[in-house]
Amino acid sequence: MFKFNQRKITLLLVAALGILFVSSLIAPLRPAVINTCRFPLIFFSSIGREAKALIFYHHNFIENRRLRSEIDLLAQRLNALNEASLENVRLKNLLSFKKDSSYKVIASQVIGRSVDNWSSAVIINKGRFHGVETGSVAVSFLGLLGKVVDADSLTSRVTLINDPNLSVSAIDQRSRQECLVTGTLENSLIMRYLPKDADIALGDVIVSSGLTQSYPKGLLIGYVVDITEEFSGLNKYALIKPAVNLSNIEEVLIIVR
Amino acid sequence: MKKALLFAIIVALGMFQATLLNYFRIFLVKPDLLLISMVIISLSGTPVFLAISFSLVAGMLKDIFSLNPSSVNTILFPLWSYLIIRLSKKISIDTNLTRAFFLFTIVIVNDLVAFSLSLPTVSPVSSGIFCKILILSPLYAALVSPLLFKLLRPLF
Repeated sequence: MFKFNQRKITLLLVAALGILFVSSLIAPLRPAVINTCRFPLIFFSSIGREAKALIFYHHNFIENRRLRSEIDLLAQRLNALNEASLENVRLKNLLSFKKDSSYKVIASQVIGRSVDNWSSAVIINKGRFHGVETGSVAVSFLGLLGKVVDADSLTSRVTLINDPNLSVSAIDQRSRQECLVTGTLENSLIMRYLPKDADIALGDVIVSSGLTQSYPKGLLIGYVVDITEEFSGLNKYALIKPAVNLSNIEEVLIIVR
Repeated sequence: MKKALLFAIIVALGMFQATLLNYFRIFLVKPDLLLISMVIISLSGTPVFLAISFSLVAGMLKDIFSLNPSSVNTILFPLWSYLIIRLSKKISIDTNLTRAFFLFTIVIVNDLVAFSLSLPTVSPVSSGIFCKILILSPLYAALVSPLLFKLLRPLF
């Protein structure tokens, strides 16, 4: 079907070398292109946000009323917890406990998402200029979101916790069972290689363990929704529903040490 | 003028895929508009050099916005484009149905090759999710392709 002569082979080789050369330029090109496209990306994202707000106007209105009443209730609880926290600080001081380092949080907006179906990541509109660093942890008000894998001057790329390339050292808040939580590309996470006698129950709260320096201790990851024995029968695994709905995040908080 | 417009449309499609297309996902899968546009350009009788150049741009855009460390699409897209042009001279791919079926095959092959090439650097996903993406993604792309073909048709 394809007939090649010497000239065509040379042309093909030159084209292949050219493409390889261009592909090697992609990595340094990446931040520059994303920075240049920052404003169109923000524009496209805001169109989506506005359209969503219009389409779900009634739903948002009802939710707004519900959340306002919830805020009143939570404000009362927060007040009580503040008292407990102050008492905790006083007692810790009395016992000379080492204080946890404080964190600074940078608020950012999602301006883009990964274009392929094989990874889960977002582009945010804050970068090194704003204090974001590679390796910084991304959270939302509800819990852990992911990790900054590449911080450029004005934008950063955040890999979300449902990406299979990201693993978080976690702990069961009830039983203190340690585990490793990995992404599945779906709206669920997986805890693999749990011992058969691991104390894990449905509905358990999973938080970051703080064993590695990457993630601060106690960040909410999600809730156990399913526990199944692995095919080999040697271990079991648990599925976790993330605390944050990862498919439509719009705001991201970056924790900076 | 038309070349510049086509270039602008490819860039806009890349941005659309990185932002608004997220709202049109089915079972968390979205169609690859950049790959579809590459196939349409290659099938529409555009000169080889021009078609490969546009494919290169589409591949580069996909790599830039896909947030993966590899540049696999920059290499694969022009290669597919060249092979599609050669193949389209041998067999007729004129109707929407044949184009959709052709695109279905291209997306599957592209996903398989891209996934295998990036295997050493990424963690594996479960076989169920892998099959779901591998089947749904080309199916969605094939369904969207007539619409995109109508959009790009006046430019050729």
